Amino acid sequence: MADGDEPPQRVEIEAGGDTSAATFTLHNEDHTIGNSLRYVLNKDPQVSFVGYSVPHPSEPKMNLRIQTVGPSATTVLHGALGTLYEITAHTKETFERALEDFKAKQER
Amino acid sequence: MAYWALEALDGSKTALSSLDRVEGTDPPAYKLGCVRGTTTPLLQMTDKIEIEVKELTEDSITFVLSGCDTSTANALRRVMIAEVPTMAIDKVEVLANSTVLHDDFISHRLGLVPLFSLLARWGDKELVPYRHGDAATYGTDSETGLPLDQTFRFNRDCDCMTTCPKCTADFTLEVACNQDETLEVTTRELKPDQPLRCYAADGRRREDDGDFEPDASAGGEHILLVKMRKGQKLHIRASAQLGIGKEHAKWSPCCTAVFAVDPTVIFSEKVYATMRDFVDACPKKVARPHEPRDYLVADGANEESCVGERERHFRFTVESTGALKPEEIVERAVLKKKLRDVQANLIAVVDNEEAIGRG
Ligand SMILES: [Zn+2]
Repeated sequence: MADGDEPPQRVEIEAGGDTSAATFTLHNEDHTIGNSLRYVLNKDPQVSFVGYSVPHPSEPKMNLRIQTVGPSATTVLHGALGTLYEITAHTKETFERALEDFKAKQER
Repeated sequence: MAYWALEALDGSKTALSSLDRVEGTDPPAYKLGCVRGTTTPLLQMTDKIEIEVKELTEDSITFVLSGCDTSTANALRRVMIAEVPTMAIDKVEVLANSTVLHDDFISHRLGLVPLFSLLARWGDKELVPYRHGDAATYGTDSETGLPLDQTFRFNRDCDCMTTCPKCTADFTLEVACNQDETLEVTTRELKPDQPLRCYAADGRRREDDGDFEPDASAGGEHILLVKMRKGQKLHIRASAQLGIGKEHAKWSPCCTAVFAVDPTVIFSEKVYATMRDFVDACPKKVARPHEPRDYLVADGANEESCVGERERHFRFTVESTGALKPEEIVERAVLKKKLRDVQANLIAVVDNEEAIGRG
């Protein structure tokens, strides 16, 4: 990206009556993040409803609906992204360890 | 989980961009409002993820990922196929072509040639550290003067006007057939302008021990591009650029990336009583006697036995096209950068809305 360009807007928020419910549109995202986020959010006791959809396969966007029991939906989504980050980071670390173990075993 | 996120939104923005691990905590705790020693159920969940590598060859890897949800396993699979960047020929200039294949046909074939480059990766070195030492160890590319650990950039993100060595690796192919027999033009003739940074993955790939020299002695099978008869000529300049499989399949580093679920076989007590030795002899413990909690199964249509899926246990098979080592594909298939981008954008949007007073 050339200097001075605005970063591309990847998230749009369609808020409901209050902050506890919102629909997020994530541009250039698909089931990869959608399904994982839905899973993580479903595990969050503060979330009363979560669902995602990819409206059309040739439109590069994904809609994510979050309703909570109180806290702001944006906050909860931010937390879920952090949790997913931890999961992927942990998976990567675990894989690297497994690979080292395997290679060590091969050498023996 | 939600607790530290709440704190983060109220707190400073610098806190959001750093998610540092607190040293010496087990299970791991993370700064950012997550109190030392207390972990959320979700963070504990990550601790259960286990991976065992079963087989590793030059071009494929088999491993078992267990303890995670199907969505996580599927995200890993999808990222390996569509979002691990590689180099592939994207622009072709045909200077002369009198072969039987027309220009577009040859261009398409060139595009599908897997190119090996250790430097094809998301540019963020902090997130994807270059594992093989620093630039000083490698020196610079004699042709371009670029350090050998200078990763390729996406052409659209590069500050050049059209193309430059930082975002593009050029190739030249110039062949004329002067012999009576048919001449096979292969990737052997595809001469890289940056031979140390990006070259056709046709068997010349070397161990990534820091040696980037294309190895002619390793042989390997060159990829056939076109056949020529006497008097025909082909002269092409091609540019390879960084891309991902989402944009075009030629950038996908995987031939196959699949996961399968192992079966579990449950025997009723009656069957187990007669087959005990047989069941216990299985080294993989595929079968087991039913437990009280299987009552739904045991009362099902088949009371003798039932075959089910082993939960949270995914057997992955990943085959490389040659563009990356198979284990590198898995290592690089991490959503981290993407998640950070989305997170940063989310905050930007919230800030923006607050600024215009919609709060
Ligand atoms: Zn450039």
